[in-house]
Amino acid sequence: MKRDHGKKKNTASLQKHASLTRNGSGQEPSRSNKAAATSPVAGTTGERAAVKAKVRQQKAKAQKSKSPGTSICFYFQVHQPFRLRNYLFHEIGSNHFYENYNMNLEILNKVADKCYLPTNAKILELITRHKGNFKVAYSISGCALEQFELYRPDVIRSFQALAASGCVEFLSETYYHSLSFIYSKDEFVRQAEMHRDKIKTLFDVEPTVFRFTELIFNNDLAKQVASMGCRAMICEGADKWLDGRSPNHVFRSPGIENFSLLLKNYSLSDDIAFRFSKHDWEMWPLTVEKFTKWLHDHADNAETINLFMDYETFGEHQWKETGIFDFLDYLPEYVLEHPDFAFRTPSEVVATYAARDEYDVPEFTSWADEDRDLSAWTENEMQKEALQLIYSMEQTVKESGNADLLKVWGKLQTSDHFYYMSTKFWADGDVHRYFSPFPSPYDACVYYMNVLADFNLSVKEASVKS
Amino acid sequence: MPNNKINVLMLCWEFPPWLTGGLGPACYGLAKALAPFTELTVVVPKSDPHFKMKDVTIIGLNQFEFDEETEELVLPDSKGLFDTEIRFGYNGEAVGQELHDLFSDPDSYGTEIMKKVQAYADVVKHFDEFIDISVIHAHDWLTFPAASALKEKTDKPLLVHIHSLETDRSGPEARNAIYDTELAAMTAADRVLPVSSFTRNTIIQYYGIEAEKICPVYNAIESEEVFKTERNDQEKRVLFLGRITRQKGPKFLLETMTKLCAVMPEVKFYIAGTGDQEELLIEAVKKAGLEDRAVFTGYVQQEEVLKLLASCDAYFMPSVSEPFGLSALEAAQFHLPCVLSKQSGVSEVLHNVLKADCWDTDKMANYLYAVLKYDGLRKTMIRLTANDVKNIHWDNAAREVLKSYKHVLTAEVPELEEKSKEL
Repeated sequence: MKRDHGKKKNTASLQKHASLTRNGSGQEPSRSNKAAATSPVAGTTGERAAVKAKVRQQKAKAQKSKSPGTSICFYFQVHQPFRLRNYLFHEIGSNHFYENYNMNLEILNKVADKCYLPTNAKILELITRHKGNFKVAYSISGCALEQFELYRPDVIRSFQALAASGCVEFLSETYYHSLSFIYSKDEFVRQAEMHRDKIKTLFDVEPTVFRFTELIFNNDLAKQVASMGCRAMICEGADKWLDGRSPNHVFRSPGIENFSLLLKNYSLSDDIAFRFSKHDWEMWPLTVEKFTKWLHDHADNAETINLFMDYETFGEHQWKETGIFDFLDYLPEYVLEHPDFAFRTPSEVVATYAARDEYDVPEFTSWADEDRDLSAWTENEMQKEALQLIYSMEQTVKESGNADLLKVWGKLQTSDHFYYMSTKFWADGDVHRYFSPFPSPYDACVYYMNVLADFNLSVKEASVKS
Repeated sequence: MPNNKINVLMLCWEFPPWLTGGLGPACYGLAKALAPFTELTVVVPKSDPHFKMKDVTIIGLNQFEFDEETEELVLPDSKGLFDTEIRFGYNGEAVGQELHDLFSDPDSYGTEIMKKVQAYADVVKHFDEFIDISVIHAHDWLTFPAASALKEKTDKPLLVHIHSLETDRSGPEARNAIYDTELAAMTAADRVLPVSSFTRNTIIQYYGIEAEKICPVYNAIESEEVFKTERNDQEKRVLFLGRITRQKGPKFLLETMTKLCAVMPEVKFYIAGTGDQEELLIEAVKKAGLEDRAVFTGYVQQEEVLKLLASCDAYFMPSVSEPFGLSALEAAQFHLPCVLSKQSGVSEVLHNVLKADCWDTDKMANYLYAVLKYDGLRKTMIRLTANDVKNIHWDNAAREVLKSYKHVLTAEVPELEEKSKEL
């Protein structure tokens, strides 16, 4: 259920127009013209001048055809948390099994059958059909991978088939889809390495582009990620920090060399992820023709259009019946009709274009809600207490040297647990905007805290033993 | 009398300064909020001439005198309610001292309750003889025979306000004289005003009243000077506040207590109230070996209630069937985290509380454990409950009631909003 909570289902359909205007007015010095203007041409007479002009034109044309044009960069997030069960207070100290096995299995089966398997098959088919000219990237959390291994190895195999196509990139993230960077840099690094190892083991690739949980980002995080050997990072294109600029270029983070940022074009991304089947959206229905035209309209001023979304968009958030798979089926063909358009993975995009501008983000941003900040996980007293407590155990857990405890501690850091405690959409009793396996944020807190109380006892016990 | 206001004859059983449960405060709060927009006469069995309300005429039947010679009831002008002496022929069963005693009894219920109800009806049915009535607004079954009699006599619109039903008090299967009284009044009424959607559903389900004429009016609460009594002990106090009757779930209270006390040595239950199951509960608590974990306060005056609210750590209401549950609002106002039964009306207006089915005592105990143990949970609940409470006013209730008056009348009702602006 995790990903069906529509947390980012903002209704800002007008953002589309804002985005178009913004991008339309962006200054786009053409690379090809620049190349043509500096190309050396000999000759002095009028005739030769005419020939020269012709050559210049041809060269410009040739240059232009070599120009990288505009990239469409798809990245899909795949994540499933280990949801907790209704762990009662009298179990504290005696029962160390915390997970809602049935629910996790049920949701995984549902999403595997409705989304992961059919969409993977479709993507692979598109890669084959377009002879390698269709490319996408995935970031798959360690929690999701573990659950696939446990319950649905067929999903792992289908991702492996995609990996073998050579047209799919896997991104790096924190293994437990955690908020660790905010609370413990050491833990952040540990989880990033764990995840990198896991990806290497399963898909035999080494990720070079990083994305943090829910696209949480700021300058410090960029520094941290760059220091870990990544060449780029993915983040939200937040209006507040773009300040009127288009997100459709490669950016750099202040003071960091050889490190690029890819910004989500939230307007076009959300057209697919959230508005695709919204009947009250004035642009509904979203046809491939319509969407492709919006993309092609950026031909002269965009280097990369980053379409980042939850993978569950396909078949789960947007049901099969909405036509989302047909949309996906036709999209590459339509996009590639334009000679200047190509699909590229994040690492290809950063290898293709130099960073054009600086994206200076001193405060944390994310892709959640309209606020695009951390408030969905860290706003209320319940969340603060829970986060404080789980991270306060770090030293004891690590010193215990107990691998099982370390694993459980990691799972309990998954951001979803704190998201379920959010009262942002609950306080006024509007149940419809609250999506979670729990009936209320208070229930989410009660059971999490009970679990944490038991876990704390186990950790203390282990610490005494060691 | 300015004729743009509706003449409301409001029939109440409990009213300040004498209160035993939630009925009195609810009638008072509503009367106060309605007063500026109506010509309001409140009729109660027993009034205290020293207790006065602005723009409200309060008539206590205990103020009447029985003239043995003429067999008339007399309200002397010395009572200051009317400019002239009120006098009318009376043929009720109870007369003389007996009549006076029925209305003056310190216990407004007691064993003679049926007699009291009948006497109230016998007197009140003459009220149209000296008061202009546009609508009759009756609260709970105790006043329904009076209301039905007046309705039959005058054909004035009748609104019956439901604070509690026999099916709440005695169980859904109850089919007795009280049930019949309720059924007859609700059937005859032009509008039925239950205190929650929960009760609206009960009325539809157990009384078969047509849904269209049932309009819930949520209770509210008078704003109270909130204070907190800091304690230095390690004790965790859970407050149960209400009559100790089947309806309030003493069985589930005990079960929850037993489960919670087994795990939390520092927890203590403060059980405030009396009722027919009090002795049973005390015995059961003893039997469970929990006598040092429970404090039975007996009946508590409002002042004591506030002190309890100020010194406890959590509020617990395991009611089996609670039409509203005003004391939960009081607890919320006093910044107590609330664990409430889902079978309650108040849980429809308090969104930031923990709710479970009354019989799910594992869950109830778990919730109490959590609110007593986890600071973050408690703080968030309290902060957001304060917002809920801010939005719960008697003015809102009055607005809903005025809408219903308007509906049953052709008379013009001054809009509350406009009036509020003027004030």
